[in-house]
Amino acid sequence: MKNNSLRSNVAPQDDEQQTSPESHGHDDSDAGHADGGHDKDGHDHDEDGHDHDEDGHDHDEDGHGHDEDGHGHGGDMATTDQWNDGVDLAMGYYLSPDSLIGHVQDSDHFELPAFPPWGEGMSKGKLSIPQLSPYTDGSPMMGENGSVWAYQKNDFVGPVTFQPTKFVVLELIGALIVAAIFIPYAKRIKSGNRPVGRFWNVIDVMVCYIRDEVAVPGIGSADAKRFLPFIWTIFFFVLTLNLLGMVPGLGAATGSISVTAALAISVFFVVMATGIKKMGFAGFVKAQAPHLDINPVVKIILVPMIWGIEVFGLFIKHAVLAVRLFANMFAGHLVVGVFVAFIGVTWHTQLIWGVGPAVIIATIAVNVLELLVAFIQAYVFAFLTSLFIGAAIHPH
Amino acid sequence: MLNQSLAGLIASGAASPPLELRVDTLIFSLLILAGLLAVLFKFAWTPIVEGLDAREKRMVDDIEAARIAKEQAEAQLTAYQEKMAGADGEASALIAEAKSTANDAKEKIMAEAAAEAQKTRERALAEIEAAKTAAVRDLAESSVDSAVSLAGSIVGRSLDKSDHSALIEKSLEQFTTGA
Repeated sequence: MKNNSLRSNVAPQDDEQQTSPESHGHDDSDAGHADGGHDKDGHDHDEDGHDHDEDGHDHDEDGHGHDEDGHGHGGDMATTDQWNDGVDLAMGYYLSPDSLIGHVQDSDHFELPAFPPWGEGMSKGKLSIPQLSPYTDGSPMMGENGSVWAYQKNDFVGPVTFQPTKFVVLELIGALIVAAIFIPYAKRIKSGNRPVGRFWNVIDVMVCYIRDEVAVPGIGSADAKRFLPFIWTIFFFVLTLNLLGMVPGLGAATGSISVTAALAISVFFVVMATGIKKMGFAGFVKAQAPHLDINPVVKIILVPMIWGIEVFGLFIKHAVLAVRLFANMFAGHLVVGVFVAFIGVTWHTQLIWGVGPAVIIATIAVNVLELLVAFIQAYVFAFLTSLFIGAAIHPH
Repeated sequence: MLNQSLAGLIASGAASPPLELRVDTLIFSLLILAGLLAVLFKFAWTPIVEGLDAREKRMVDDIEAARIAKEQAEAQLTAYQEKMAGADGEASALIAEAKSTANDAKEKIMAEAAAEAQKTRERALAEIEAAKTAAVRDLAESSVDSAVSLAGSIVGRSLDKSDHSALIEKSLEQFTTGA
């Protein structure tokens, strides 16, 4: 079972891939079960109970692996216990945290159904992302078939691995989408004309809403205009990344703490720069503690403590900004992953006829919720950004 | 072996745990965000702000123009209403004047008609009187002539012209006064 859980980290994309390479029968006992290699009766069917490929690995007609010591299930050997074992193993496979998170986390490839069609083994169903530099630092990790499929960190920028990942590509795509929408939109309304068309009106409504209901209330009407470009960029970039996460085969870049941390760090720098520009460095530092009309002796004791708490809070609230967005997006996609995993668990059982439709309905419902969450989280991120900037301009 | 491979996969960055803070992804994200902000600031946000400001200014101007037009329309409406009210009074005065003029004309015509009728009547009476007088005269003259002629034949004396006239006058006088 442990192996099955770990194996799920390289979750297969289809039946064929479910067996390859991990179902090649290398593991002696439970590898033959881990891929859910049962028909709807819970049995594996082959002529003699064992197919042998050139490597001497066991396969049935569906390519499901069996070990050589008889762990494959012949039809006449099926028992309820074996069937249950198969379901348990499948459940352990599909519902394992590694398997579920594997579909949500960042990676060096996109997961696509059976893509490329000519791919085999680990490359099946994966669209790899070209890397900036060869990975020559350290020894490569070897796959089970002897191929190199995992890499050591390189030293492209010193000690930091500089590896473009799926989320980085999605961020680029998101940035291009935002630019492709708002540059034409700007041309349309540049001369003060109103936008024409449903799509442009929707964009117009959102632009005006962010200005009037997010930036102005948070920053103040006098200063909001200066920060509107940043607030707009943050909102529409986050929203686009959130919505890209709803496209099957892509992923939510905002479901990565690295991405949301970058967004929060940018907000932090803007807040700091704004405060320092407004009050000077010393003034900004001093302004972190509120003015207190209290006994001077008590003030000497309290002010440093409050100042420390406030400065600590300054960092914490920006960190929370990153965690909130990440957690919401990650959790939503994980829930969808759990629902879909139920299909994998029950695929070879009669339960699929009940579980399948229920999962589809539940997944649609969760996706609708995720659509709402995508907008809400973008709004929350932009609104808190406005509040933080406003707090830096108008301290206490 | 598989475990090692998967651990290596995660460790290498080919697949990273969601809570792992990857510095390279963070740097990429910051660069992308900064680049996006720079591009949009020049090509989108600045024109959009200008466009929105222009639109707002136009809307404010349009609203102000509409307010002014409304005030002008209201003033014109008030003037028209006053003019209409004045026209009603004028019409009433005209009608009253017309009625008065008509009455005057009527009375004048009636008076003239009555006067004319009176004149006609008086003229008729005068003509009747004159005709009567003439008839009486003729009758008296012929009676006198007959009487004179008769008397002359009786008394054998001819009345001269003066006697004849005096006799006629006397007869007429007697005829008109009591005969």
